[in-house]
Amino acid sequence: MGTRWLYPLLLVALAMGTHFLHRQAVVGVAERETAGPLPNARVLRFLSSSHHTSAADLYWLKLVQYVGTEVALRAGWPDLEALADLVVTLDPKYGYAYQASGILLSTAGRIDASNEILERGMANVPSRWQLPFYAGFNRWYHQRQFREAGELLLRASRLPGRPDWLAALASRLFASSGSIDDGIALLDLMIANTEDPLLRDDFIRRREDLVLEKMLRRIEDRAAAFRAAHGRWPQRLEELGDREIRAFLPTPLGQTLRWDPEIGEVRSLFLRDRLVVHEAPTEPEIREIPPDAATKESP
Amino acid sequence: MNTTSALFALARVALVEALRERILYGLLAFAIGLILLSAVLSNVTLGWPVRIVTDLSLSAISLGGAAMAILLGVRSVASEIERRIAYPVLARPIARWTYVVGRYLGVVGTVFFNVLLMAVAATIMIAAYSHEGPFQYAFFDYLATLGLMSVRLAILAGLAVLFSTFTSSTVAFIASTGLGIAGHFTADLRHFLGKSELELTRAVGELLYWALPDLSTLEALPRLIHGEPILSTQALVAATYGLFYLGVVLVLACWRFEGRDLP
Repeated sequence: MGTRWLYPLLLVALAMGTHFLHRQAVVGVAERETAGPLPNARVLRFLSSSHHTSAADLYWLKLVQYVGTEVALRAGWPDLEALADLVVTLDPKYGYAYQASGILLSTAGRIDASNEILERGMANVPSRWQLPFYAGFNRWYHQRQFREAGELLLRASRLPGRPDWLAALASRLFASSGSIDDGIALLDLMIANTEDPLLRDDFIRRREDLVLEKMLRRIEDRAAAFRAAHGRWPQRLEELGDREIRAFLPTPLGQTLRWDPEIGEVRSLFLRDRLVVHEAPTEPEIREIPPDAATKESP
Repeated sequence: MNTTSALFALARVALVEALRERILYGLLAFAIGLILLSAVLSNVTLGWPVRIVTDLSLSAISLGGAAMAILLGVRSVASEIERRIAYPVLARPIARWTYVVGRYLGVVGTVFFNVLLMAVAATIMIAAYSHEGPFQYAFFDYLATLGLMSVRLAILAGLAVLFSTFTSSTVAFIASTGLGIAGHFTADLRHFLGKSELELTRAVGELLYWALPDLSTLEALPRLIHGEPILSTQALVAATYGLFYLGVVLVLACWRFEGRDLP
């Protein structure tokens, strides 16, 4: 066999080897929880010079791919803050990066980090109404700080390009008691008026959480009443005889409910953590003060 | 033959020669490939894709154009001397500065022609991905961004031609690429060296600041993608500064070539 066959064979062997190694490398990346080694943001900002916005775009694309990686998603995106910081240090005026990172961090349950990047965005891109809007959403939904939420939404409602319904939403938040029905109504308003697909999907998911929480509480109440009347837990939820619960069970969200008749516990496969809903403070009880007590001075 | 017609004849010859360079087509294909790639990448982003398309497309034009300006510029005079093609031309009754400026115009004409081709491709892509009206940006702001980029490329071509008049193509390439990169850090250089306690270091910082081109003042792309206005007095002053700097570079190139002994 002369050199006539040597080169094609060598070429095929090396190409196959390259392809095999490449596949291994790709699998390696897809199985990583972290985003890999990241450069120092300030050094890269200096080195990328006048092309710093392009560098920010490339790291933004990396962030998007990272949050879409299944393993990283399951791990709760441990490198999300670092990637977001890198992107907005490279381009401090990248308004959408602040907004989307804020939403993603909030989705991951890291509310303080979400608020931090949104506030950084509000300082660097003060004309972007979405940043105070989403910071207000965090205050309302996660932190139950209705006054702060209302103030942030009011701030958003004064910025250019904001939707008309924002001022009305801010007023409703000021008056909100934090009940689940209030939450569902506010989210309905937001879903109907949000064009951003990322934001809209997030609102829809949060609305589903609230709907599930509302139904779980209703089931718990009805099950407790059932037990008080019959001295046992119902075997099936249909036994509760509640029309609203019966109508809910065949829906996609209803299918996620699991009832344990042994211990009387209901849970949803969809809702991993139960929501804690703020209860409005009740009026302090006014007691009649005896006439002689009113004149006494405290020691 | 008067000076003007000699100048244009030299420019035309330089342009035709430059258009025959294979490396030019390689760079053009690379830049247009990058513009097309920006559209592919924009599909895997969150939010509006027009920012990614604009940013990467115009960066591709900027980088591709800079590579063309330097590679064609360094070969414009040096390789003509090395290959002894320049001698019959210089034996004619034309001034040496005419030769240098003619070669420069040929180089810069070739670069601008290629930038135009890339800009057409980028503009079509941006229009296709625009979500606010038929074109995302105010058209004059967009043209101003391309205009400032063209001034920057003209300076790079001028620097390459300057080095090409007194050194070999390789050395000219290294020197003009180095200056092109350093030109983006002029303000930073002055800032960092200005912090030194040594008087000499601070003086060097000042000297470099005034001697090197400040190419970052001619960069408008970040402002364009953030929706900020570009066509302003500041942009006109920056463009005028660039043209004055180019004038200085070309005068230096002509002066150096006038005094050069050709074997």
